[in-house]
Amino acid sequence: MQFLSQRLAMKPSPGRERDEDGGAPPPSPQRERVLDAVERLVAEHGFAGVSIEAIVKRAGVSSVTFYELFEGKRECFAAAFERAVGDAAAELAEAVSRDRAERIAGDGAGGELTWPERIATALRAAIELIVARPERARLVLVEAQTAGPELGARFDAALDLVAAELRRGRALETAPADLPPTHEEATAGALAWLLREKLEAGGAGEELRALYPEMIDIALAPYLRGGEPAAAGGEAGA
Amino acid sequence: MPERSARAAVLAGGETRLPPGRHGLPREAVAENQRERLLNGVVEAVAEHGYNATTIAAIAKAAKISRRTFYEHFEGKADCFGAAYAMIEAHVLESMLAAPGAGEEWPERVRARLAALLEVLSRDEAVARCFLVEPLSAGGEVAARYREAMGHVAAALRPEPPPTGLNMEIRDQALIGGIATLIVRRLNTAGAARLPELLPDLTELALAPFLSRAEAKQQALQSQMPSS
Repeated sequence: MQFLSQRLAMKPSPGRERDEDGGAPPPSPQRERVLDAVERLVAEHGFAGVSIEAIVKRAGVSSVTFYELFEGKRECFAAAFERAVGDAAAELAEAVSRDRAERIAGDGAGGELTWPERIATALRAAIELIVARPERARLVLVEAQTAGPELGARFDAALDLVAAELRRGRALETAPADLPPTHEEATAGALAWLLREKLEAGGAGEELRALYPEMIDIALAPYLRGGEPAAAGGEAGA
Repeated sequence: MPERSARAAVLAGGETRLPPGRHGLPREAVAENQRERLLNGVVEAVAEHGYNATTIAAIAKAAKISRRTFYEHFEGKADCFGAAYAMIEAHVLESMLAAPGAGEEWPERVRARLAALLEVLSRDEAVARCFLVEPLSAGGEVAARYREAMGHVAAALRPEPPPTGLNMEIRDQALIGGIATLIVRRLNTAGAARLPELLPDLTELALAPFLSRAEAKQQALQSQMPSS
């Protein structure tokens, strides 16, 4: 239940209307505050080290309010994960449409971004998002995989979204017809692994951005290179 | 229970539980036997309950050993799991390096070593989960050890001489990220026994950045043929 005054006082969160998660309750300021608190606490202590007591204290809400919003800790953690992934997906989509608008303004043509351009824009936006919100990135990329099967399954579902986007590359003329069916799952896993390792090593800012050229090559090359190896002349010794 | 004795062979070099009662064995032999049972117990308990939910009581129960005896051997769960992990890691890497065909040229060697990796993990689901799924949950030293182990796996698959013009540190990490993702997903959806099906996909994943696609594909297709 929500009051109109609350609704009017609320700032729209970017892209939320595009959220297909019909089951999620509408955002309330208290809910957002609780999830903000979870992000910070999980970054400090990991999921296993965060209690409901600590969450309500950090969020400044009563435990009655907490239980009105969430059935328990697990539901609350799941909501924090879904908010982070949903917001990230919306911001990536926004970055793509921003680039598209700039292109239209620039050359006057109504050109869509090509698939490789979309992937490049989204990947760059993802890295900037991680740089800007390291706690959130940690929750999604590092901690979710330590917190048992439920969040593990949600992490897998998020990887599947990335894999589905990559799979569109198979429509390119240069894409080989016989890539293994698991290729995109492996690529999504590889990209997540690279980001996670960098975060775990305390990497921030430029260190994360430095991953971009290799990441974009790993994501796109199999579809663009028409079968040529990344290591030009390396294996052949030419 | 063949599965259990296979694991006991992995973890304890073939030894099994001593008969109860007086057996006249020297103290060191008894201690060694208890330790090996606990290593087997922690693998079973962690695979069943997940690392975080595993208690010392569950480990002791799986090992059929008292909690008190547990603490004579290990400081706690992380210590015990770390010791089991070291054994699994050594076993997996030794299997990869000793794989038939692993002495061949680089592309054949990669396929042989990946086949050995999948084979050794497919034999025992609990061992596979402890090697690849649970270390991240364990965090700390165990997670660090897992990263190190995966680094060794990547090193065993690297082309020689290393190709120029690529950041091999990042390529190594991308490869093990891809391999770990595919293995863990297959483990979760289809079970350990079906892991060897991944061989062509993993082979192509490991070779494609460095070979022409035709060559990578050829190697991957060969991996679908019966090896013996």
